Amino acid sequence: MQHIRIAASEEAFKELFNRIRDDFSWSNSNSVDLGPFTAGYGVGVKLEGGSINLQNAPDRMVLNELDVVIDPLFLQIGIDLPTICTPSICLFWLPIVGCILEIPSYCLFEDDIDFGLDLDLGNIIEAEISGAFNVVTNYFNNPAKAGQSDHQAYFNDNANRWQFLLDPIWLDLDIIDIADVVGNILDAAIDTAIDNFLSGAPGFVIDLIEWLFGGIVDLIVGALDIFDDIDEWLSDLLGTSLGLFDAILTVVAEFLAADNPIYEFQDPYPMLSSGSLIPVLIPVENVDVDITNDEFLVLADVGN
Amino acid sequence: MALTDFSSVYVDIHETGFNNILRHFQLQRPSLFNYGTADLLENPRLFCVPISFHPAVAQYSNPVATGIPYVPIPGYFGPHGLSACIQIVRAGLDFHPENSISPLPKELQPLAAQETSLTATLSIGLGCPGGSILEQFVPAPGNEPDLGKLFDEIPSPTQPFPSQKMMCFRLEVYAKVRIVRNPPVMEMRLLNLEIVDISPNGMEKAIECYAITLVKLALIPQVRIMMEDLVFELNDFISLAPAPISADIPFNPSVADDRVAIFYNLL
Repeated sequence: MQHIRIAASEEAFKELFNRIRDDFSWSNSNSVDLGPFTAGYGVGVKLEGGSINLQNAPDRMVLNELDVVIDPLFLQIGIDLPTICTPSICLFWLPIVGCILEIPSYCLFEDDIDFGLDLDLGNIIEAEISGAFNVVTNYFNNPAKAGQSDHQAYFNDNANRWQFLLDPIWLDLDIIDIADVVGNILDAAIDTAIDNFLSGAPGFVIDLIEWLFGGIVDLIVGALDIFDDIDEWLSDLLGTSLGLFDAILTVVAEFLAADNPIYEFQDPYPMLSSGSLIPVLIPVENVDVDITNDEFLVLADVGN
Repeated sequence: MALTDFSSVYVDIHETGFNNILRHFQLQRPSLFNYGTADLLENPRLFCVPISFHPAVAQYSNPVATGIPYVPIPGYFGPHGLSACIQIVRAGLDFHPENSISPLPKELQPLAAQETSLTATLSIGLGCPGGSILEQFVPAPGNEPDLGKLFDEIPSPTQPFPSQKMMCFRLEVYAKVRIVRNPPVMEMRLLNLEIVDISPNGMEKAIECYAITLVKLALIPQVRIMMEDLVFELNDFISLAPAPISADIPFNPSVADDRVAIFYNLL
């Protein structure tokens, strides 16, 4: 027989979840050197949709299909191709005098970033998070309270606390889809980069590149190691190379759970804490939680 | 049947927990349970019942009792009055059904649905100056008080008579109350009060009447709760307010099964 019972309906819990979800936002940036090219991103993430259900035996809260809105997402790729220099070519040579008319040597791809691609990939990637949590209680023995009475600890803000923590059982991020338009975005970025590269180059250079490499587009695509599936390439670049998806999963997990209590209160619990007299401190014991299919319960006893 | 079948949030407390809270109040706010004249406040050992209190009360120099005026003597206009004390030695409640306070005095039986019984042991003391001490305060001939105007002006004594001996006695008090919503407040309604074993019966009734009047007019209004104060926020995300009365929630708060419960809805 518990002295105190506090119950929240599944609907109330869903409303609490919705408001917590709507309060989430995260932005981050990262970059990596992958040899032939460097890649970096700037991202903003919000959460939408999804639902939470309470389950009994085993007690858990199930998170279903929480949409991860990855917007904005800016991907910047810098391609550094090996410098290539054409030999000088003598067009007219006279004995003793030597070459009197020559085409000088011309070097290509001397810059650190020969081609820069700026991709706006906001709202391109559809992702969902699903998972299951339990709620556990923890009694936090505040080390700062050592040697203090309960009232001293109250006034010094060092009181012990009962904490309610979300304990993730499992949590997954699934990439549902990458919009087909990503191919068009990439093509447009490559065209822009090529135009910028060629804007000051002599006409024979263009012909030379075509003759040597079969076209600049092929050069770039080859450097990026893009073959048939752009979706797979992008997912691999963002996920594996840049670690974006793991970062998103980690930050969502930490927001929903991890070390941050979803709720906590002092023990002993203060009453009549306003005014000039000491508060009345009520010891709270045996705090526990119970999850049924219909509601979430907090149970506790008042100490003697 | 879930506790939240008809509301978003449900909170209840068992009478055992409530009585435990009451005991903590008694130890940490002794001034709510002990009342005495100024001489007793200066020397708490003079109280009828030794006052028990939590060490923090002394550590933070909180009062162990609340001051009350000396008892005046109508017609005597000197500075002296009688010392007095009133102490709530023991207090408890019992939510329906009747069990932890049982049996109730027959005048209060039965404890009906939604009713709560209260009990308290009061210790009352009056300082009595010995006969020989009083002689020095008897008005000199020619200074007798005017009997016709004895109560026209009630004096306000500022000192106790010397050498008083506290005459102490105890009363057992029982009451029945009901918690009602009287917008904008939630309050207790006193249904009946019984003081056990005062004789003669007429005096018991008269004293009970006075006590009921005192409780209704002076004490109960002190413990009203503004309903807007029952609205609270949870982590800045959720605001809750007491659910309205309906067919599904005929009473809010509800007293049943040895508990008092409040039903809340999300705002």
